[in-house]
Amino acid sequence: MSLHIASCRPPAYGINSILYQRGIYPPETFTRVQKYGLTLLVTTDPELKNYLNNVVEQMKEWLCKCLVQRLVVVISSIESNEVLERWQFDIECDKTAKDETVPREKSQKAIQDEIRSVIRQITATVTFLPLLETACAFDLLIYTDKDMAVPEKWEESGPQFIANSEEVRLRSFTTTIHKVNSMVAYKKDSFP
Amino acid sequence: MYRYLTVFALNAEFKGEAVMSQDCNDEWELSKENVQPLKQGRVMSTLQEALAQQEASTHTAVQLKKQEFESEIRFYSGDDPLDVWDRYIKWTEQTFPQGGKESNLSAVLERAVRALNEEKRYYKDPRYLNLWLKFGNCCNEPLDLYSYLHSQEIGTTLALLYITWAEELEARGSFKKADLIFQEGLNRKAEPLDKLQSHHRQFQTRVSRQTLLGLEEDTDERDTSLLGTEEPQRSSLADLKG
Amino acid sequence: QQKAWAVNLNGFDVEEAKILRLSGKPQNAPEGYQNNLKVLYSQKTTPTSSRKNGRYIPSMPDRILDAPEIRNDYYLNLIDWSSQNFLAVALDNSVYLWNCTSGEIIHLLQMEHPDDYVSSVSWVKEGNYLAVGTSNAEVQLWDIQQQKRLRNMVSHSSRVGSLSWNNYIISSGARTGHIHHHDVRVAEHHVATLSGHTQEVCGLKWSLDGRYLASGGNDNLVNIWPATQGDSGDYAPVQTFTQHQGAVKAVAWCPWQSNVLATGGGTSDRHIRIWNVCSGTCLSAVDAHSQVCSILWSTNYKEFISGHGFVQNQLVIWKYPTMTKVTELRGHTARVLNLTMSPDSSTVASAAADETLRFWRCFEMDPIKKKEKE
Repeated sequence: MSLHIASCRPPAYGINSILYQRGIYPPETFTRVQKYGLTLLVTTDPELKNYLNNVVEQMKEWLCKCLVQRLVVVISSIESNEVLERWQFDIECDKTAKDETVPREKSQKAIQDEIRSVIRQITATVTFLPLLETACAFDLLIYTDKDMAVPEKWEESGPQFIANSEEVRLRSFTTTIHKVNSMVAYKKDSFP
Repeated sequence: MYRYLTVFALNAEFKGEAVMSQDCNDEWELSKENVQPLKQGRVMSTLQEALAQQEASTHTAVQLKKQEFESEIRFYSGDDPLDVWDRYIKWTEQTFPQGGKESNLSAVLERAVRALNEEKRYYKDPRYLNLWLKFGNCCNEPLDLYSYLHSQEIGTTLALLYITWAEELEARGSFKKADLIFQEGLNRKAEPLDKLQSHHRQFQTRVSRQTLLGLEEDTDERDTSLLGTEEPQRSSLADLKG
Repeated sequence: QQKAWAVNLNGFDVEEAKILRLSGKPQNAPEGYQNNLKVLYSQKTTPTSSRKNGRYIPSMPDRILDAPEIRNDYYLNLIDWSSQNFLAVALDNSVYLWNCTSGEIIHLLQMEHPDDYVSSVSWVKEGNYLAVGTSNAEVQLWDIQQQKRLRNMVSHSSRVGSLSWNNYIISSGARTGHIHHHDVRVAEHHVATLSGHTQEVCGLKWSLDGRYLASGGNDNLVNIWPATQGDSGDYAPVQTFTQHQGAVKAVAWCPWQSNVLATGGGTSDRHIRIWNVCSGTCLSAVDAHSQVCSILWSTNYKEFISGHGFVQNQLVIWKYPTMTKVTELRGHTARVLNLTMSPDSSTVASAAADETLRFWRCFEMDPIKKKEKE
């Protein structure tokens, strides 16, 4: 079980990296944490930390039961509510792995290397993503199995797509039980 | 046993895919430091193409496209010449991700500004204002440019002029002047007004916080000394390349 | 049919999933907060709170040389100034030597194939040999007296963007992420491979005492390598610094504290960091607000200078260890790619994407102090 839980952690760091690298929150409200052979930036704001913990804890539970299909980080303008950027992590779950006791073939190091390369790509996206000029808010969407009962404090949402978007696929990584494909979509209205 | 086999087969497939996508799509990351961030973002396909062409010694396709724009400008007979310049500039920004002398962007901007000077019909056109503001970005003293635009009534109906102007003043610590610029824009009901109002509100919050912290420097008088330095005279020196 | 449509449109089957969100909104950033990435998009100069320190530093370059066709590529190291006062400059597929004493220019070499180019140059300490790295993965060794190629050392499989000498060893960093040590005295030149980077190695510097090699890469890592291999026979870094959030090209060893290293990060990082390589601690960090391309320490003052790219294109002189700005040197109209220092440490040469080399007499010794030193 410990392995499974280990493989459920990355989303929290991914979300934090996006919030830091995209400048959604002031850089001085982040602290540096060494993980996966990387320095990751993690929010120190108590309220934000609490919010992220709530989502991630719930997601971890669902991930380990293979109930999650997708995690989406939606970034929208506070002023206009318009969705400007949408980070999507598709999670393919190997449901056979759930009840296995034999350790899987993939080494922790190999998993870490892949996670590292995804987070590094998130950092590098400043090369092509538009500047978020207005104050922005974020939202987290979790796509679950359709039969799942909506837990207390959670609600259903729309997909919050960007109407006219450019999409870039990022690296994918596989853990012992999940394969995660990542992608970022952004507005392309002002392109030639 | 069979189950294990399928699992590994699946994994192998995933790996294969990952390697493939790395081969064809990751040039942008391997050359990330050669890509200047753009406010409006970049088209990934154009970026990948531009980075791939860097390796080739001939940029024939790029040269051809450039000539195409140049001749379109020369022989243009339609009623919207700004459109050609607008496309030319956006193409230049996207095609030369690393900027530098090769891109010639500032020269193109200057030509565009000259060519379309006193085209009164564009004074309220956001594309025209954008052109001027991009040109201002390459100037030593953008504040002079903003005053000029204001005096000529270029872009004075648009929020972006006041926001850009006020931000520049704010960056120099001229908070009072920045506020005056916002006021002017609000008085003129520059569009989109809600955007201008929200920027003004955010600006006021920042200033009051700074004042609270006692960090405000009385820098309004300092402005004149901040005029950009001029390009020094080139002493006549041997060309490195003869 | 409809299902297929939905899958095509949304990339997944809406009917097969439920989208959930935690009720309530995460709190927003404080009112008035402005995205700090703004610094990357405007070339306009913002005033700096530099303090006057009494020392006179000319704000204009001493001279400007044209450097046509210099490659506008962050990952290359295209200029180096020798102890014999020759400046080596790589312009696309050629290497030129500028004799800074006489002003004479020598065209040292040109790549045979028109698609190849020179990706790095580095002088041996004595200044009689020049190492040249190329886009086709070669490391060449040139004798300057005879203007002749002595060796062509092939062991890499991709371009060689960084070089550094340690006595008779020339270390080379490649786009593969591998660093090779070449012993220039022997036929089997390739004596070691250091694998600690997964992407291009663009910063490479031996410490002045030759004990450590510092390497920086596009994988945002800084590795510190020992001069000799460990018990297992392999080379392993003694330190790996992961704090930079962008590629690391600028690496420079402090001339008066042998364990102190300065490094600078790329566009998504923009920070200069000072390290103690023995303890592995980051002694200080400063946000330079621009892509850092190069760092050089002064030997005449307790200062260092940094060269910047996106988006300010300036040079900055910093006081050490306070990390306060002494002054900024402006004039380049496109990004600075490399810096190198004259043998007397008085002058810094900067190569930039505006196809010029500029010479700044920014570390000239105070005449009184100079006398004292003599």
